[in-house]
Amino acid sequence: MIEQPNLLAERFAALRNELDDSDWFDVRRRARTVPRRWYLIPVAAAIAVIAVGSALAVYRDWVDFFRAEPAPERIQLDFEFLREHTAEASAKFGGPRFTTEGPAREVMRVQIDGEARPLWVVPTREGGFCFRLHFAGSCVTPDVMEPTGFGGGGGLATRHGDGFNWLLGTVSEQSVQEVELLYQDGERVQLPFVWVSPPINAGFYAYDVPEQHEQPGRLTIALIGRDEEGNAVAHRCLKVSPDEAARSVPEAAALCERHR
Amino acid sequence: MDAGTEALERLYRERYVAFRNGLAPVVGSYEEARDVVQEAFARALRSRADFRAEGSLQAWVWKIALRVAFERRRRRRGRETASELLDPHLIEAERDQELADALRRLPPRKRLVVFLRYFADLSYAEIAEVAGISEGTVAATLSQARAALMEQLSVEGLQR
Repeated sequence: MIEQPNLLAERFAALRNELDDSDWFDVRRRARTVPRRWYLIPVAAAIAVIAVGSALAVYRDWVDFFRAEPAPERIQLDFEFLREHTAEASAKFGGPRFTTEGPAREVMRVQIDGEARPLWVVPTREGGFCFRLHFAGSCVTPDVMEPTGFGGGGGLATRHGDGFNWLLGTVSEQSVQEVELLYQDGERVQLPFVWVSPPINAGFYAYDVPEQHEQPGRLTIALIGRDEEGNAVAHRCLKVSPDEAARSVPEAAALCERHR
Repeated sequence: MDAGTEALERLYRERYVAFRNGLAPVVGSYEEARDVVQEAFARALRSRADFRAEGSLQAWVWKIALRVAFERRRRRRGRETASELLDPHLIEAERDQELADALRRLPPRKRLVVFLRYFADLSYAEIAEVAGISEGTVAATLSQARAALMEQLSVEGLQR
């Protein structure tokens, strides 16, 4: 027998993987995530609906705002800047002011530019909220929520200027369970979507559009919000592209025509 | 944030890699081990009120993590015997097949103690708490395991 415990320890150490791919936010999300339809269901109806629910198997992430991770100090400061900037721009049109209340909190993480980036949200005294992800952000009030079920949002235009390569926005229609992005070529993709509890009481989606969908003929066309049964209950037309682009996907064309 | 959450977050940030590395041989891949660590800490967060402060928080989370890992292996492979349960799918085993083979020949209890010591960097006291044995038994088990391993490993292999 050879007494060489240090060498044995070194040999084990050589097999270790030192890559740190930890994600505390994911742990918090797992600990608190509750499918929203269960949250809304009265107790008396729970058994019947759970049986139906498993067949439908549609739900969104739901976040209790006050249990979400508070943002670090530098993010709180960024929100101060964003709030002032938005209020200043809004004041020019006699619009609302935004007084943030309490700390901003992290409500989801989305892969943008190859990194999982946090989406921060903070409520305002006026009943709205401010949100920020990566270098984009905005402040909104409930009265600017659009009748289409989607609220404020935006993205970065493609080089051609007729599509988006990056999307971030809010959803005001409470029955929305999933947000689907439609492309010109008929492809569809379900976007990361989370509903945040009061005082925010809104949904958020964000997406880094793949490069192949920044080309003419394959551009982003519309966002569709679907309820538990798959019905389109909200939509947002990304109609930077001309009419014929929207018409290439009949569902988007029909919805977008209504709100032209 | 309450004190329990803060303590768990601190433990997670300081020891995440050790948890993942220690669990990888149990579940068979780093990817699955990562998922087990995430799930274990999520369960720990949900039931943090059950933690009794006189014990080690790390050992408590390890017990949860091993439970999650074993649940996954059972689900994946059906019923397993005790020795199969801790079969070391030594990660990157091709880098040290000799060590993997030697570990496989250890009885399950010894193998677990070795994993917790060498991959998860747990102290003797923490291993004792996780495995439900005394510190003395941990020391004796490790000593026997080391001896068994070194008997099977060549001098060249040890110095590799």
